[in-house]
Amino acid sequence: MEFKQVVGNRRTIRFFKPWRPVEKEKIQAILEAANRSSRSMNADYVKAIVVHRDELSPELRDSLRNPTTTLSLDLAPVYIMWFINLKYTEGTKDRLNELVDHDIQVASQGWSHAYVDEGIQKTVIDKIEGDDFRLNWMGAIESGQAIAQALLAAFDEGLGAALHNFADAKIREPLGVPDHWRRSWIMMLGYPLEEPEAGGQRPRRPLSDNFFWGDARTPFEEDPEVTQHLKDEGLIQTPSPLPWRKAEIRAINRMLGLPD
Amino acid sequence: MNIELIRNDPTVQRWLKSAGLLEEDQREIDGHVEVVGEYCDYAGVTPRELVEKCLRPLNSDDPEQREISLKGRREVNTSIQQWSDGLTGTRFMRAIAGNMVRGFLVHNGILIQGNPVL
Repeated sequence: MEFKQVVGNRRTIRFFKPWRPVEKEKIQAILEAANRSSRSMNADYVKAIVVHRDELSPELRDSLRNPTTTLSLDLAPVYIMWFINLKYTEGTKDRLNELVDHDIQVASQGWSHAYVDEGIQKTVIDKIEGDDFRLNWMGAIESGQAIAQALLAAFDEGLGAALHNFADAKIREPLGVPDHWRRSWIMMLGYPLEEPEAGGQRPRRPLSDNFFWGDARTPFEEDPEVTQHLKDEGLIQTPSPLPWRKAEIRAINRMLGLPD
Repeated sequence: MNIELIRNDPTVQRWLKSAGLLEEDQREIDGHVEVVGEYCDYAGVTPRELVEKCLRPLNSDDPEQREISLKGRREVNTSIQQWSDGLTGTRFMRAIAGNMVRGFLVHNGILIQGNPVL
């Protein structure tokens, strides 16, 4: 699938086909997409555990529930639990020296083994490790990039996905989650039971509301021709509400015995 | 259960209107109202009291300002499950009854999700 189409197709899927498993090769593609994400210091910010819904005991599955995940946990056949690895600075010197060896971090931009070995500990690593806010902030941003790529990969594989909060207190010990893995999102994964449009593309504010040109006072101006091109390429799609959405939701509710 | 009292309760009216049930035929509306009425009989509460059980005051100064009570909602959800599990009929019908009561709560502002029949 073309990149713009994948981005345009992505939306939170809330109803999955509970009976249709997800192929392991698709899960591998999703994890590899996360593994290829941009990351400072070439560090491993994100950790993930793939869990099959039906392989979790009912007690553990119930322990994940919170008011907004209950239904998805019942419907999605696969969960990916994402965590922020708060020990991401470990091994930084080795990884950076590897990049110097590979001529990726180069002298013309100030990189050398001497800087990595003698300078980076005090100027970078100690500052991150000594500041909880910075440690978590960087961890969240860099993990977020990995999760976003995984999310797009899921749609590229023809799946549906959704990110939710989850309760992790009771699964940490049984699943062997180390203390330094901080809970991030849980990704529900499966084949959509609802139409892939899932009610239409979500309303978004115009670019000029949030993006600026040159300074923060000058809103970015859209070129209508570019906008049309992005529609043609599938990045911008038919917005919600779709005329048949209410009937679709009602039919799904009837099928699963859910409240209207 | 006094079906008229249940039907005229403002929380029930709010639910019927918000869920679009008032557009259904009278038998369908009555069926929904009866299910909520039966659960309220089981729990010994009025529909309004059922909603109230899922809420708690936001602060002691202003009892009108309320938020969802996690404990209250959990207890009500468990009670709904126990009630629906004890009903006669197929698993599907029992689940629908429970989810109908949850739907009543949803349309009265209580974020609670249904249990799908799988």
